[in-house]
Amino acid sequence: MSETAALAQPHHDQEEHRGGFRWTNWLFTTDHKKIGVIYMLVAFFFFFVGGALAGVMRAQLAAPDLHLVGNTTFNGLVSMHGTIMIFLWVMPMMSGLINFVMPLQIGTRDMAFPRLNALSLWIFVGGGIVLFSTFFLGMPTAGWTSYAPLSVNDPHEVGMDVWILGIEMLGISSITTGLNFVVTIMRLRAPGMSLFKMPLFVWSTLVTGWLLILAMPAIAVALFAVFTERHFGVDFFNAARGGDPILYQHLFWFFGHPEVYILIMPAFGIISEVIPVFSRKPIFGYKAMAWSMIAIAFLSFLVWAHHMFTSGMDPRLTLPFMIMTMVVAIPTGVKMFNWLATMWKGKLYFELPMVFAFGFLVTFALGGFTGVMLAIIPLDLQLTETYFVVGHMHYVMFGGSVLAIFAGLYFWFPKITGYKLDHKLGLWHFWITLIGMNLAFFPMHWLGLLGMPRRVANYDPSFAASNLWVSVGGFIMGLAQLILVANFIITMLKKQRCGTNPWNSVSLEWSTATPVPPHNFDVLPQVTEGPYHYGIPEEESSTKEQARHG
Amino acid sequence: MADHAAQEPGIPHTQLGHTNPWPFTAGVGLLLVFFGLLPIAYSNPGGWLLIVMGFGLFGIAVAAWLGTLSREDISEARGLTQPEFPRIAPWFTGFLILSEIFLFGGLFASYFYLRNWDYIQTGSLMHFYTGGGSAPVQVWGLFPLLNTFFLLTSSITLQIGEAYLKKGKIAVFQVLLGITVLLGVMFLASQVYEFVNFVTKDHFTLQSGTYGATFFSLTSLHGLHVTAGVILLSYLLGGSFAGQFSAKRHMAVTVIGIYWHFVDVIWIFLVAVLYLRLI
Ligand SMILES: [Cu+2]
Repeated sequence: MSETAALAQPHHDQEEHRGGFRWTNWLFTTDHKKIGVIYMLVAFFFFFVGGALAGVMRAQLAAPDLHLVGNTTFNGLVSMHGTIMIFLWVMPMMSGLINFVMPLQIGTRDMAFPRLNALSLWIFVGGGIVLFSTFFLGMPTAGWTSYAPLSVNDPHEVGMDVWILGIEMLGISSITTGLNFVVTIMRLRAPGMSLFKMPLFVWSTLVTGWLLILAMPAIAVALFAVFTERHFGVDFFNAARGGDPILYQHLFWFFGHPEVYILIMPAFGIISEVIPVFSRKPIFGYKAMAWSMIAIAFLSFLVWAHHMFTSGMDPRLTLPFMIMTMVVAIPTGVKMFNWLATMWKGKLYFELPMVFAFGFLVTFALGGFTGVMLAIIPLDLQLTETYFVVGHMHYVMFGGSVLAIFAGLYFWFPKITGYKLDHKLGLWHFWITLIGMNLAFFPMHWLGLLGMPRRVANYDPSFAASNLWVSVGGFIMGLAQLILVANFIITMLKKQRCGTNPWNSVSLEWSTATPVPPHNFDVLPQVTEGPYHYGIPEEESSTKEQARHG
Repeated sequence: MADHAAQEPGIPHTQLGHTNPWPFTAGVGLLLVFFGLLPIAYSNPGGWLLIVMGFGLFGIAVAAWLGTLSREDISEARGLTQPEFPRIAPWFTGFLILSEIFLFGGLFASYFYLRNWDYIQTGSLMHFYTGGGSAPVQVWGLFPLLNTFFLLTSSITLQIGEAYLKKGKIAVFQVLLGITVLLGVMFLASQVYEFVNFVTKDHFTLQSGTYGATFFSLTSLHGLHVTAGVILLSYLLGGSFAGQFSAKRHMAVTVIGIYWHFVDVIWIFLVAVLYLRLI
């Protein structure tokens, strides 16, 4: 350690220990690590709110002809469950992990724009408050997609407006966050870290940032149009006055499909970090992994109309959209095979992050298959608006994004807090979650094949048995999350330090002290090697591995 | 390794305020603004109070924020203490403009989509431009011509001004920057006058069918960008009198200049598509 760094030491020590906890240290913080933690805490709050909404829905649907909630309330529950899980759980949770980890992984002191980062956070929290207020002002009932004319028809539905304003705020927050991610990665990497020496989690952040920057404006336009049409008599979507409701769908899905990758891309990054560490091998095909993310992101802007095959859009356009959608399976398949190849002949350690990564591989693959099925036009015409779509989407969102979030959380928790989450409790969390989610989401596929419509508060009695399973599975899955909370609390109370690098990872975030000092690194690291130089013998080092497989 | 000048290994992190109250304050301000839009949607003027308060709070916060920025910019030559303005700023502006292109692109796409939809339904190419009235609305005229002149000239004055700044001739720079701000204000005034004319004389409003909807959305969104540009340029003007810029310190001018040129380019598209109907 250089002399200058040693001189700098007392300064931050003072800062840290002066007066202990102060709420302004958190409220006014510009430190990416604290901002990341706030994102995660808020996200977890909304995870449980969204889960509770799903709980009410599944209680209503546990048997046919129940009347726990009315139709309108049910529509509200559907809308808010989707909105919260996407915008207030997965997105901010990913944002939190990225905020905490990414600057450490690229060896820098903070985001490129720390204050803008703080502003993004508080705009996000503001959007969360606005959306949360719908529980008091009335829930929106047009679904998370809020299709016109459904979202336009009733200009007295306050919840709809609140929803629009909340999403617009979250959109602004997402764009500024995306800008920050991209500029930070492009400009502030530690010396020597070329683009293709970045950890894949950083790659996934870069790609996510691009998606945020380019996709969010479309929904801003769409919702602006809905808002003005609702209240100021402006015609965008009203077919009776020259507008076209299908325009809304185009705008929405131009955002909506990239949004799906905004939710899954960081998950790819997390899994790509976890698997090499616990296989003690370099990632297989590093460059292919990076390029496949770029390819998926690029393609995501060319497939939006696969959500609209039944909308009455120009039928000449459907075939290209179907083909482009199926092309996405190629880079996604590359990733799946590379993850498997990374584990092949590796020395596998079944620590909690790895266990969740395994779960991810299986369930995400299932969700991917049904995704390709839904892209096939004749199948989609039958399956759209049925529970098959709900099943597919939950395998991808929960089996993909959320399991990856858990993997990332168990993986980086020691970096964030200095403590390892309890292994046994973690295994219980994993298995009960996995059993519950498959119980809940798998029957949805055949329910959909049999024709059960989604987003409806009631169903034909012939679907009763499967729906009971879905509800039971859902509750099991929900209760399993309490184990995670218990694990948090127990671990934080036990205060058993686990060392700076409990997983023996080689990436930069583990090279600095835990808890991470405010300035991250006493001396900025100099990068000479790729991010995954695991394994013996020496010649199997990452650079050669990349050369051969890249 | 010019890229990493701010990040050289071995340079210790000397000081970085890890707290700053202004982002949080600005966030609260925006929250008030968005909540204020709700009463307005229901014709309750009380919302304006929230919006004014929100924007006020936001403005104060951003002004204070920019204030600390320029102070650090002067006091610290390198390191992450002045993160907002060295080399990373042009990259930020570039990506922001990309996002803005997609924002305007969404509205332009809506315009073309709805025009085509109108054509499919009525079989008439001109019907769309009637905006629900009897004859096509005549939008091209003196005001858009003047506006084009104002904006194009302002881009040139700003560019020449920046060149003088780089040569160290601050006074010339200040004059040219002042003219740029003035031209921006004249654009806005003329656009307001144009809109008033549309509404009162031509009865062409935001409610005039899909044409009115897309025309006024696009032009107003652009007008908002000009407004933001004028505010940023005024901030530069103030900063230049406070001695913040010199031949070697002109990053803020360059960056805001790029943004201003972008607003100019968007206007050219608006003229070509909306006013002259070339496409
Ligand atoms: Cu899609």
